[in-house]
Parts: sequence; structure tokens; C-alpha cells
Amino acid sequence: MPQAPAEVRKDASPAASSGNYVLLKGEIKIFPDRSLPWYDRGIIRAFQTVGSSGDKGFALICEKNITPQTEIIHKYAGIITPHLPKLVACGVVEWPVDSKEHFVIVYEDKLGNPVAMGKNPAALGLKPELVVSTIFRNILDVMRAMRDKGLTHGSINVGNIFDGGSTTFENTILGEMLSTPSGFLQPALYETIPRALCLPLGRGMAEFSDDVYALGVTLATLLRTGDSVEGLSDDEIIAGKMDIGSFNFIVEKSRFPAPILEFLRGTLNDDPDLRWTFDDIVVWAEGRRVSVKQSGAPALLKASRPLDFARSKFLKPQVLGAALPKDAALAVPLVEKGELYLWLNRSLQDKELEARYENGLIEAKKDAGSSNYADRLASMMAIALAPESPIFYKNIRFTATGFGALLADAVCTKKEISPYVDVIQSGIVAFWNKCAFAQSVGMGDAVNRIGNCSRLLSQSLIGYGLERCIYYLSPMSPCLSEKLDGFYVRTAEDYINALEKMSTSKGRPEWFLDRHIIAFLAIRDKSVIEPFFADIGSPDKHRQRHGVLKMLATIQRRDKIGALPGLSLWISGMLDILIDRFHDREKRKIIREQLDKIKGQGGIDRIASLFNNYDELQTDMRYYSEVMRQYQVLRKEHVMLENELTTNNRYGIEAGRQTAALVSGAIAAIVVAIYLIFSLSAGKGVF
Amino acid sequence: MAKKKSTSSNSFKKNVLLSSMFVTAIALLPTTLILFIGMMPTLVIRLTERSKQKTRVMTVGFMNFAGCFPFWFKLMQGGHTFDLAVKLVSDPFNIVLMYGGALVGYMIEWGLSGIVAGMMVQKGRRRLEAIKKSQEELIERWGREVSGDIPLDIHGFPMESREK
Repeated sequence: MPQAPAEVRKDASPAASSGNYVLLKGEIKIFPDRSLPWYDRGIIRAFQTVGSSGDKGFALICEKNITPQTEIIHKYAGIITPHLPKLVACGVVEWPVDSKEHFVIVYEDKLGNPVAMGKNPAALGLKPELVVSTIFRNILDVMRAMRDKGLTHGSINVGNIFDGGSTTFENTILGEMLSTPSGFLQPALYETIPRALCLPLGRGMAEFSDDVYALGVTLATLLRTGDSVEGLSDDEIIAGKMDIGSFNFIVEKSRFPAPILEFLRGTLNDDPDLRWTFDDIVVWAEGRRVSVKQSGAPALLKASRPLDFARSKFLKPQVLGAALPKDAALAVPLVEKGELYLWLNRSLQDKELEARYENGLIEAKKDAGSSNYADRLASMMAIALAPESPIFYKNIRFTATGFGALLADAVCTKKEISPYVDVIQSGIVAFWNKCAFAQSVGMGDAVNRIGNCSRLLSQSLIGYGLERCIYYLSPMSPCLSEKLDGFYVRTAEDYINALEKMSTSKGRPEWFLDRHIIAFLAIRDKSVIEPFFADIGSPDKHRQRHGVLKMLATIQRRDKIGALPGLSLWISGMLDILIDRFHDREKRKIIREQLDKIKGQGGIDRIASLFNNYDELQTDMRYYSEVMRQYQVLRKEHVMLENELTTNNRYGIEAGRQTAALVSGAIAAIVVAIYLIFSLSAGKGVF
Repeated sequence: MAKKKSTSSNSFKKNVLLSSMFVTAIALLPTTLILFIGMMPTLVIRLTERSKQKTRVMTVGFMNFAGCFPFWFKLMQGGHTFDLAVKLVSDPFNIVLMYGGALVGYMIEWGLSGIVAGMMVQKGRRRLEAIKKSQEELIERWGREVSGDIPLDIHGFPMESREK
């Protein structure tokens, strides 16, 4: 696809500015009304910045669904070369345009104008001597510096080269690549065939050989005078490359000097093993001859007769492999009637391919009755036919390392996610890994991760499921919870700060967690949530609230976050259920009074400590049990006494008689004693 | 077998006791005559009394004995002769005094048991009120659930009112 003419640079007019800005890290002013369209990176827009010392820069406002390469930012900052934009700062700001938080990357504004400014970016027609001695050497310098840091660029193309403020191209600067996933903005023309076949987000991390390929295309584009791909779509460009090879497709009728042709033949080789390395390029640049390489991979196959599929004829299994998943329903009869096998067996006669075909068929038929059988079969067959190609499944095309970014984007933009679930559960990736000729860096780990996701998906426990897969496979993705829609949450600290910000808004959510947030924290910062999983996942609300309270307190304490008065008040309003876990109303009253005193102070840890005293709860429970028993004793006594009083009309009579007996005995004794005293003192009887 | 043995042993003891009493009564015949005639009201009440405690027998008996005691004392002072005993019991005034003691005892029994029963009823009512008050205090401090009248969960909280 031809690139649009480069944006013509105009200095942002201060007069046009209203003076509104947002501050990054408290010192860098970003002006939302001073856009710098020539620095835009696709949908990632650039805006002018001014640092604390007045130095100008530009900020790229990243999008939530397109995860920037934050994992390599620190390495990028350590690259020492004048030919790459200098990183000034990065972080999250609240962007006034959409009132949402965005991740922002700020670079020094010393890039100058785009090299392609005012020209056709697909054919600049520059002089070879000038290009090789300036732009080419500068890019080589960048590649060397990045290689030393273990990085690849992934976005080397004419549209991403700037003149550095000089019309002689001596100080050209290669544009940045951190603001998007590797290769996301790379035009299909600049990508190798397997990566070009992927969806832009599904390409995964570029390898150094991909940068070498892109350098070859860049050099050809800088030098050629005619646009050989004018009017062609990405699919047509890829088909052209697959048909006649990248070198022939890109060079086509253009005339290049012999050394340049040698360079292009070496860098545009579709076999990564035969493609030039950085050292080969250096040797070439020094004017020496690069030795010829032997490929370890099998030569590209071509059938002796074509196969008819979906009203097209195919000679190359690689091309057929890319076409099968597009018409999965037609692929089933092609395979099941044996037409494909006959074509492979008679027209290609490649034993390894036939073995892959057999294995793919066995894998696909493991779940033959399922509704996605046709798609799985087409995908497996595509892998068997072209194991060097990416994975095709329904409408998604990706490598194992690019699957996470693709999944995160699908969830964030609310696309259909069933194909992703199918990919995880179907074993397609494992089959692709088994068939692959060579493993690139990180591919084995990515395949294993996708395999592990099958286990994560099968668990319905809180913190598992597809949400966990997203953060497991896309380690730099922000939290995609709808509750955090306006926030760019990358850490537990970001999360708690987001809660604090939304605590005073009317539209704040009813609850602090959802499956996304739980999965996000479980992957990114499991120490703050794992100890409380049992409580948070409990069906009892009081346990859920206690779990969240403890979790938030842990984050605040561990990350030494200052007072969070809004969040404290918010969560305090939800703690009645916890206070009511005490049976003793007096205790409840005391805790309520204590909570009222501290809830506005912002210390969640202090609030949590009110409810963390297990001994007090035990004591309360013990007293409560005793009181219940006491109540029953009283009730029994009441019933019995009331019954006696109402039904027994002789109640108390017996006691009265006993009293009478005692009184009678006493009186009798007194009478006898008095009689005896009188009788004995008188010497005769009284009567 | 053992029970049978025990019953026959008790019966033997009873017989021995009755025999001893009979011998003693014969031996002390003047006293026996005075007490038999004088304690007749007590004897009658003993035979008609149905309560287990036999408190009325005791009440009347004590006072009846107090009424008989001066005549028995006189009998003893007069040599404890049968003639004197007959003379004493044949005097209606003496009989009135002896039976008057029993009457006083009966009056004490009648009067005191009524008063005490009334006091007991009042005390019972006060106790009922105190229990009610204690129960209300317990409910106020520990909640309705403390009564056990409503279904509770395993932690002792009312089931229907708690959010789940």
C-alpha cells in the first residue's frame, strides 16, 4: 500500500495556543492544542512539550488498546546515538481531550523534517552516494547501538526517518518505536512475508533480521525513482512477494548500481538464514565482498500442477496455506475428499510436508464434532503447508509472541473474542510450534504461555479465566477493566490512585473489583491480592469487603502511598457489614465511633486494623454463646414460673405450711420451756 | 432375690420396732394413756393428712404436745400412776386444754400458710418481671438473634436479614 505524502511541517504557533497544558511528572508541560502531525505515529498523535528549562520536545499520546513497549523503555534510554530521538520522560497523564488517562512518551524535538517531506514516500529518487554516506550510515549506527542493548527497532521505514534539521541528511534521525508494539506501524512492504501476513498487532517482537529486511526496503525506496507498488493493497504486496520473492518484487524494473543490488539481494532474501546479518552489512559498507551463505531451511516448494481452491489456482503450498483459513468451509471438503493429499503427494512429493499434513489432520480431528471444526482444520492445514507463516485462525493472523497484544486489543475494543478462546483451547499454537523450522527468540516461551492459558481458561475461580490470560500473555498491557475506563493502570499503586480519583465522582462504581482487576493484580502484583483470594472470592459479602479492605491497606502500606481520604471515606461507607459481625452492640458502637474518627484521615491501614483483631471477634463470639445460653435459662425459668403461677392455685401453700410447722415447733418449745421454768421454780404443777 | 431379702429385712425391723413400742407403751401405760387421749387431734390429722411432707401433722402436733405436756408433767410428778392418768384425762377442762393446743396449732397452720403463699406469689410475679427485663436487656445489647427465635447461620447471625 503506498504511503501518504508526509505531513508538511509547520511550527506550532504559540498564538494559536490557549496556554492550557498538562504536566507530566510535575515539570514537563504538554500542550493539547499544539499538535505536531509530522511526528504522529499512525493513530498515536504527537503534541508539543516544554520542559522545566524551556527545552522543546514532543509527546506521543499512547492508546490503551495499543500497548507501548514500556518493558524496553529503560534500555532505550540507555542507547547512546545521536540518530535516535532522545527519550526525555514517560508516564501517565490525564489527557484533557478525552478526559482519560494516557501513557505518554516524551522525546527531544530535534528530529527536523521527515526525509520524505514533500516527496513521494514510496520512491524518493535520492542519489545512492548521498544515501549510503548519510542516511544509511546513520541507520546502521542506530542498529548497532540497539543491537548492543539487545533491542530491535521494528519500525525502520522511509516515513520514520527525519533529516535532523539538515538538508544534507548528515544528521538524519530514525524515528521512535516505543509508542506501539513492535512492527505495529510498519507498512507491509517493509515487513518480511511471515510478519506481513500477520495483523499489525499480532506480529510480535521484531528480530534483528526483520530490521535488516526493512533496511533493504528502505534503501530501495530512498533510491528508486518509480513506485513499483503504487495502487497495490497490502494483500497484493504480500502475494507479489510470495509469488516472485521480495527482492524481485521490490527491485522490479528499478535501476540500481551493482553494489546496491548486491546489498538488496542480501537483505531482501526471504530465507532468514540466507539474509544478511549486521556484520555482513558492515562488510558490504566497507566495500568488501560478503561471503555466500548456505540455507539450513528447505527450499520454497512449488507444485508441478496447480490446485483449484475457492476459484483460484495455487502452485505454492505457502500461498495456499494463507488462503485456506479465509474459506474454511471450502477447506473441509478439500481435505476430507483427499484432494489436498493427492496434490501434495503427486505434485509436491515432499515427505516432511506430508508428515505435517497427517499430523495436522490428526490434531484437527481430535474434536471433529465441534462447531469450529472447519476453522481448526483450515488453520492446521495452513500450518502444515506453510510452517514458516504465522498462525491463521478465522480472521486473526499472528505469531505466538504477538498473540497477547492482539488479545488485549480485542478485549479493549470489544471485538469478538471467541476466536482467541478457540486458539487457546485448540492446540493450534502447539502444533505450529511443533512444525516450525526454527525458533526465534522468545517464541518457545510465548508458546508455553499460550499453552498454560488453556489451564487458566478452564478454571472458573476468581482471578482466572480469559482475563488472566490477557495479562499473562500481554505483560505490559494496562488493566482493561470497564471500572477503570478513564484510567491507565499499570501497577497496584496506579490502581489505588485511580480509586482515590474516582472516589468523589458521582459515577464511581459500586465495587472496587471485577474479574479484570483481580486477574490484573494476580499477574502483575500477586503479593497484594493472593493472600486475600479466599476472602475476595467468598460468596459472603462481609468476607469480600474485609478482603478488599486488607488488600487496599496492603498496597497503601507497601507502596508508602500518602493519605487517601476519598477512598477511605468510600470504603468506610461499606463497612457496616463488617461492624455488624460483632454480636455485641456496645462493641459495634465503639468501633463505629473509632471509624468515624479516622475515616476522613486517609489511612486505610488504620481502618483495616479495626477489623483485623481476631481475638476480639473470638471473645465476642464466646460471650455471645454464653449470653444465648443464659437467655434460654431465663426463658425456661420464666415459662416454668409463669406456668406455676397461672395453673397452680396452691402455689406457695406448701412453703407456708413448712413455715407454720417451724413456727409451731418454736412456739411449742417456748410454751414447754416456760411451763417447766414456772413449775420447777414453784415446786408444783401449774394446773 | 436381693430385693425380696431387703423387703423382708425391712418388715422384720418394722415388726421389732412396733413390738418395742408396744412393750414400752404397756410399760409406761399412764403416759401412753395421757398422750393417746391428749394427742388424739394429731392422730386424726395424721390419718387424714395426704400431703407428703406431713407438715400439718407437725404444726398441729407440736402445739398439741405443748397442750399435753403440763398434764404429763403432772402425771410424772404425781408418781406416774394409772389412776392419776385416768383422773387427768377424765377431766373435761384438761381435755379442752390439750385439744386447745391442737386448735392453736391448726390456726397457726391455716394462717401462716396463707400469708406465706401470698408472699410467694408476689415474689414469683416480681421474678417474672425481672426475667423479662433481663431478656430485653440482652436483646438490646446482643440483638434479637440472642433469643434463638429466628433462624441463624453458623456464625449466629439472622439468616434472612444478612446480605449474601
